[in-house]
Amino acid sequence: MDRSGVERAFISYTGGLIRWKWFALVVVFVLTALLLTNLPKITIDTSNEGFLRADDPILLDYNRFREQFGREEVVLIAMRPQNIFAPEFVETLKKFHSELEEQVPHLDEVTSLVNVRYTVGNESELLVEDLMEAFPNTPEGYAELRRVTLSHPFYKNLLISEDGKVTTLVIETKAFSTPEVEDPLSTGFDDMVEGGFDDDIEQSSSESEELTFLTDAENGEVVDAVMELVEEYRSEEFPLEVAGSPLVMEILKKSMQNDMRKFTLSMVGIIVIFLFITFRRGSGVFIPLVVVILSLLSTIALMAATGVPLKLTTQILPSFIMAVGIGDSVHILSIFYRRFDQNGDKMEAIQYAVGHSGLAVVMTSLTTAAGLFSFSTAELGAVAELGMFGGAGAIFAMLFSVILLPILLAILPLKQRSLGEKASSVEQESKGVIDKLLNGAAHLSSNHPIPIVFGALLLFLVALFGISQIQFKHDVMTWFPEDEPIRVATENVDRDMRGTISVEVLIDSGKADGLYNPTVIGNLAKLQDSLDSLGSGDAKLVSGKRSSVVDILRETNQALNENRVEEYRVPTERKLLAQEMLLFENTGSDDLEKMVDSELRTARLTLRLPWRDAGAYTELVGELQQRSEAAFVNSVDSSVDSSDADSSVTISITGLMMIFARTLDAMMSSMLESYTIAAVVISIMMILLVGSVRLGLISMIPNLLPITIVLGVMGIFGLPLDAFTMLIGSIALGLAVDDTVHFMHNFMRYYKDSGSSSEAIVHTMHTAGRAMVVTTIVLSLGFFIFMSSEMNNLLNFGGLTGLAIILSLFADILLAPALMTLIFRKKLNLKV
Amino acid sequence: MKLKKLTVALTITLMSTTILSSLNLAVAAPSARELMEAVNARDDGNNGLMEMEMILIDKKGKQRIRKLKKMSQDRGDDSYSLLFFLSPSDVKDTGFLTYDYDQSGKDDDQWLYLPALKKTKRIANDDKSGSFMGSDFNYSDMSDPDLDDYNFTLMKETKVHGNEVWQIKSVPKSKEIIEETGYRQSVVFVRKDNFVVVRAVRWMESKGKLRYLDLKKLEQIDGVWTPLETTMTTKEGKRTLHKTVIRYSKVRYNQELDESLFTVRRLEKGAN
Repeated sequence: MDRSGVERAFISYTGGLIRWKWFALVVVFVLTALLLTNLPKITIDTSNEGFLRADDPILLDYNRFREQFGREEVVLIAMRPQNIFAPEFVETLKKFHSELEEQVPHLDEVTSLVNVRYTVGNESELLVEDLMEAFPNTPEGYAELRRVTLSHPFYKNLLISEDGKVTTLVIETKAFSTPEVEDPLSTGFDDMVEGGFDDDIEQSSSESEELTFLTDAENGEVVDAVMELVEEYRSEEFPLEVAGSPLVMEILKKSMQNDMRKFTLSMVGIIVIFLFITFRRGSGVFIPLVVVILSLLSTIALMAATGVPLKLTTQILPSFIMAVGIGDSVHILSIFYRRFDQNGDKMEAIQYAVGHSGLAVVMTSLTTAAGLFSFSTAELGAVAELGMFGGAGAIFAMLFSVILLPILLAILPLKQRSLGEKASSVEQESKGVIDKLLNGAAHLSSNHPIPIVFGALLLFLVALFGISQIQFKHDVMTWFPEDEPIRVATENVDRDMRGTISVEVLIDSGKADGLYNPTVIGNLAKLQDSLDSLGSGDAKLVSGKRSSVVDILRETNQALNENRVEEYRVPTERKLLAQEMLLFENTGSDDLEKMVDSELRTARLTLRLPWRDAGAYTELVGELQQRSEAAFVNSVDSSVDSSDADSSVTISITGLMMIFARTLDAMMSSMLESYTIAAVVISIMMILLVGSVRLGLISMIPNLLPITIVLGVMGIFGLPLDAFTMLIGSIALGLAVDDTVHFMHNFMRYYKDSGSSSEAIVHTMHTAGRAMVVTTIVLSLGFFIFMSSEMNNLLNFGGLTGLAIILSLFADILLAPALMTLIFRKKLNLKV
Repeated sequence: MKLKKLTVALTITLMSTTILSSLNLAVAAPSARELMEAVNARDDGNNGLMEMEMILIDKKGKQRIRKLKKMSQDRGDDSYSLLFFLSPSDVKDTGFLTYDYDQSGKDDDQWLYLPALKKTKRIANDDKSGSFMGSDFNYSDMSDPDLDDYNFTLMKETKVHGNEVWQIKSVPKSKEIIEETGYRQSVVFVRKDNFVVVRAVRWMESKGKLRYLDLKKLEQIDGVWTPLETTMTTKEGKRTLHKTVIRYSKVRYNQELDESLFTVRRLEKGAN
């Protein structure tokens, strides 16, 4: 790369920019303002499926399921009173239940012992009603309620624990977001155009409109309303615990909003202090702050404009973009102020500074962006988005630094300072420390390069061992502190009711009314009964509630047969099956439509499993599929004609468990790919920068070592790779390479001048070295901020990335010079 | 006949109202309640025999068709009906016998016959908020409301399908009524010339869901205004969740229907 040519180009560009500064300012202002008008549109998405790409096949299956059967994520309220069947508790439960029904928005259904379906029959009657309405408020009534509740198979693990001590209340919400219809009277009829009844224009109802699943904000309204009532009712006699993924989502969102505010403010604080110490000028604080804040806002506005919500991963963007972006300004400003203070010609100093640093700013921004963009193809949508918009943020920072920053410098009145008055004692002291460190490093690396390289090699090998121990994990629950109520509640419900996470097995009989086939239903019943546990050995998961249309049929059949216990079974005759379903449809319960599709073609079998790391689920998916398929083959019933044989039954599995499992899979397959892309792209950039393939590749060694070490540390200390920590590699690579760029850039220059590697190293340390140390401090602080979060995922991510950045500095001031010493010492000797 | 008298009385009231109001004299217009009384009192035929086709349409447009045979008879103010499934074949001859009592507070009686089980069961169900045969119609949609349970307001006069109608709002007086009928409130459109409800919007108990009743075909058979095609659409926001079309054919009134038809014994004999 012709460096002086590039430098000249930057100088003449800056000249033009200064000449047209007012015009340029207006253009930048208008464009930025246009972009920023999108800001209010930004949304938040902390949903479980939000991690996946919108077109992920597993997610599409899940969406189709939700369209048919509704949202399967429920809020679970668990109660462990002294006595569930005491009149006081029952009365409070009834009131609580009905208030929830009244006050919770976007509600589909509240189910508890109050209103659960109770089907009972005798010689001549069939009764289907709400459980608690079936018994009088007398001691005998309560005793009967207790007996029925404890003996009813359908209620067990759904609404009452096996020991009869815990009861739950299940809140189902709507699957879709429903905007209020403004005037239902004038728009609801299918032949009606808006505005009146008089028009008889036939107009097919527009079913093509986009359906939006319940939004994060709406989910928040649900959770808020539930929690408000929970707080109101909670007492010693009425102890309540709340679990379920809608609540998890909401807590994640709230903590994310808090954290983002905290991170952003802390980062602004750090930047202000750092800039003040570095420049001791108002403009030196103000201008970079404007640059990074605009970069940040532009990035968020770009997300809003493209309809991408902020997610758990992208919550790190504000502090990340500021940490990354500040370096650009600092490089230009430090040169500008020195030049300006020397000769007093502001315009010349601006041109000189941009000319000098322009290439470095562009290169470091591009490498950072490349590290992030390497994730943009990730199968995990939330990570791809962080990659895309993190990269976009780095580019915005670069653009504002080379366009807006020179304009602001040219427009703002700045005072020249004499060189002597600048340094304070604190500054001198800190400079002293840094200088000592750098001198030591320069000395060590040029005199003892071989031990350093060997030390590095040793670290590398240890790290490789650590990496072999590393594990992938996706378990949102472990992100919370151990005593977080939601975590405790989930553990308790998992223990008492055996499960909070659902998996849905869809049995497609292949044709309409296929569920009238008694073989299919019989097999479904067998399957449902047999799935009491999945996996084996340590991976064994006992399943809690399993439910399907089988429960309805068994209940109805028993009730129709004088309540005889042995009649709690599915009918074996097609007509009876059909008639019992018809009967059930007519009893006032709409439970059937949640169990089968409207064509009576597909049945749904729901299993509840305890909340586990997604890794535990991935192993079960195959087994579940296989066992389900096995249940429906070779089971042709000879009593029905062959067209009824259920050989055409197909099984598909969906549900939250699948979303978790898929998230983990996507994570694992994305990571290697992203790391490879980042390494290759950045290597090519380094090769271009230093102008030599060999040197470029060698310069990658100090870049890759810190990441290897950090991954090794994770493996050794048992820290998992999750949606956050998997990002560390590419992010750290993109940032670490900045230091290498500066080191190589300066080293090559000084080596050319002096012909001595040790002299070049000392020179480099004294010039670029300082900037490297300072940017490392700011960047690592930018990541260490995340450790102030209560969330374990951010704690790990921040700490480890910060560590990687600090290691990168040491790699660049020790290993890189040692490698250069070894290479160029030999070369020099040959020449001599 | 009671209902004829009422209609006459109402017509007179209306006429006089028109005349008096044209004289600029302040006189009470027919109240919404009075209009609803006329709706309930409308002659809807007796000793009817008809076939009913019920088309259930899901949100994807998939249809299921059920055919039934219906017989009905008025006994005083109570009405008795007998329904048999003709198709699909799996449920053929499944029958429902219903006694719908006019008396406020008296629960209806319903018996169900399942041919596959050869058993009749009385269905004890005191509310009408449940679906009628799995359709979008509730049982409460299939019979006249007890007017004492509601407050009615006449909203305005407008037109539906070119016919003059009254637009009347009806709000249940108690939560129990909401639970029993499944609806929080309704707006009905009553044709002025024949007191037929030609359209209705009903707010379902489950918040956010609305039902739209629309009478698509109305004909006079044996002097009785008979809704031959009615749709009921369940919507949430603008989204259609489900839809039911009910069509009547071979409608005949004033048939010689023996009282013994409306008995459990007859129920167990099937459609024939």
